[in-house]
Amino acid sequence: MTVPMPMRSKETGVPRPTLSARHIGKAFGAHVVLKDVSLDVERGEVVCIIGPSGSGKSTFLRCINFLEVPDAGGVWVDGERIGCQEVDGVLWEVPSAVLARQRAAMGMVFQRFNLFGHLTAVDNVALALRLVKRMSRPAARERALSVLASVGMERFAGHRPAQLSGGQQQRVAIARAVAMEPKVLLFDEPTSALDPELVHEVLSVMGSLAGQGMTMVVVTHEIGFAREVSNRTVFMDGGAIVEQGPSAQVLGQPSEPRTRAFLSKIK
Amino acid sequence: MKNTISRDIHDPAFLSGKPRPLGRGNRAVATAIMVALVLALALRIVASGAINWSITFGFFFHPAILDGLVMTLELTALSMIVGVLLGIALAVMAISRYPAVSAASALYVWIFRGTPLLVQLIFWFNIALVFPVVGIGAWQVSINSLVTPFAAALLGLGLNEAAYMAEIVRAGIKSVDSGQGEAAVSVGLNRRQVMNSVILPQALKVIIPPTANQTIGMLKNTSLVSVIGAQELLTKTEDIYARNFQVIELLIVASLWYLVLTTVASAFQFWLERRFGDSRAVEVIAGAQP
Repeated sequence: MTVPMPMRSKETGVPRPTLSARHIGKAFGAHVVLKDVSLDVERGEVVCIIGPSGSGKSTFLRCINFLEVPDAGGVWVDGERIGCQEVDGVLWEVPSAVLARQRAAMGMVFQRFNLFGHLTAVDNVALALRLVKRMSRPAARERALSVLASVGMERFAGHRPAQLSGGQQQRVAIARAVAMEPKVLLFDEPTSALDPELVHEVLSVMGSLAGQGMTMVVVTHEIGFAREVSNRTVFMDGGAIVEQGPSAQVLGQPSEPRTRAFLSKIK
Repeated sequence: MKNTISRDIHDPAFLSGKPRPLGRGNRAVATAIMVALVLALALRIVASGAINWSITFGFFFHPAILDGLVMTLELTALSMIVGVLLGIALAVMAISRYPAVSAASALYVWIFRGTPLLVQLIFWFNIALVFPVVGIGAWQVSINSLVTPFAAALLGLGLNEAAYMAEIVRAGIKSVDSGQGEAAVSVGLNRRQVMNSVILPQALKVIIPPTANQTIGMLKNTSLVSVIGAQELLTKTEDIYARNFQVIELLIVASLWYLVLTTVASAFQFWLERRFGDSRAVEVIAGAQP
């Protein structure tokens, strides 16, 4: 059903990337948001995407797990094409059950946390374990509690989202994504909705995930995090990648004038 | 305002405190007028002697009236169950990806909300004129034997209610933040799981208060089925006054019972709204802020 990615693994023997987004294009009506954006992420790599608002970085992230359906290009995770299948030379949607399985292998952390408002912290984490991973209620709860402990939220397992601070909600949201053991974790401006004093607790959880070898793509405005934690930084502007490379280089000695202009504005 | 004294902020003798509200005198006048009007009306009714109150009280617990009361409650409960279940189905159909499915839902709501309930009830009662039998071959059943007055009442009330409930449920679903659905699909839930485990539970907060309102309306709407002779409260009342001609006395019996039912239901609604109305605010207050 799924088409193997036309990949350098066959050509050169280099291990293929965990996540590969190729030539992604997306427009909302006449407004072109993404123009031919490609990104490969290796296993265990942490890639930060920075750029001015409206540059298309969030839309790109949402195209990766098909929350937005790209108009052009394709996304592969471990060589499996996401959301699409080729049948007799025609590109079709995959059945919704297949897309659900593919999404379960990609975690997503949202700017606005999006915790399930009617469920406690532990049930937020356990819901998909029960419904998607088909774990029993006690097993899902046990696993959820241990993942909550890993983000320092086990004391708040019985709290509803409305009873938690923004930073605590975001840590539960990260636990909800991590519990599914995704191949790649996508973060969509995870600290942008937080009060300044709460940013640190979320970044430190993300830093420790990176330390454990989690493959991560992080859309962020936190240049400090990009510099210290990420292997690679991508600068996007006007719906395209302007510059990318090792974080120290892109953030330290950017070669593109637009990157320099952006960095000087947010520092 | 001839006694108004003007002092500025530098005057040490200014009067401090909460000012008395104006309009106390108007309030007393308004109260007097209203009490006088209500008393005059009550005295007029009693003094006329046209209403034989002993008949009203004598029939209040009459077995036929109580039978009708039970039937009214049964019809209300069953019609609301039909209305809520079908309403949820119609609301989910309304947001379907397939245009034909959402159009079917819209067509249903258009017809059942756009024609009078009374007409619908008479229509179901006479449905045998259009479809005399259902079934095939040896398993044919006469519609006349199937659609009793009770069945026609249930069909009419339930199917009509479903159209209104569909709109209420649809508003509830739309009230849930779109981020909830996105988070749910991002962890791999399928469409049905997203709806049943994430969207609908959170839509309840918006759905429950108007549903209680609809139930109160239904208690009274059941009286319409008296036109097809379903043996509920108003039909039973009519049966009695058709024999003893004490029309007003018995209509007062029925009205008092409807008031009892709607009052109890309103109290229940008040409790429901406190329980579900703004649960988030309640939780913030109840929960220890870390």
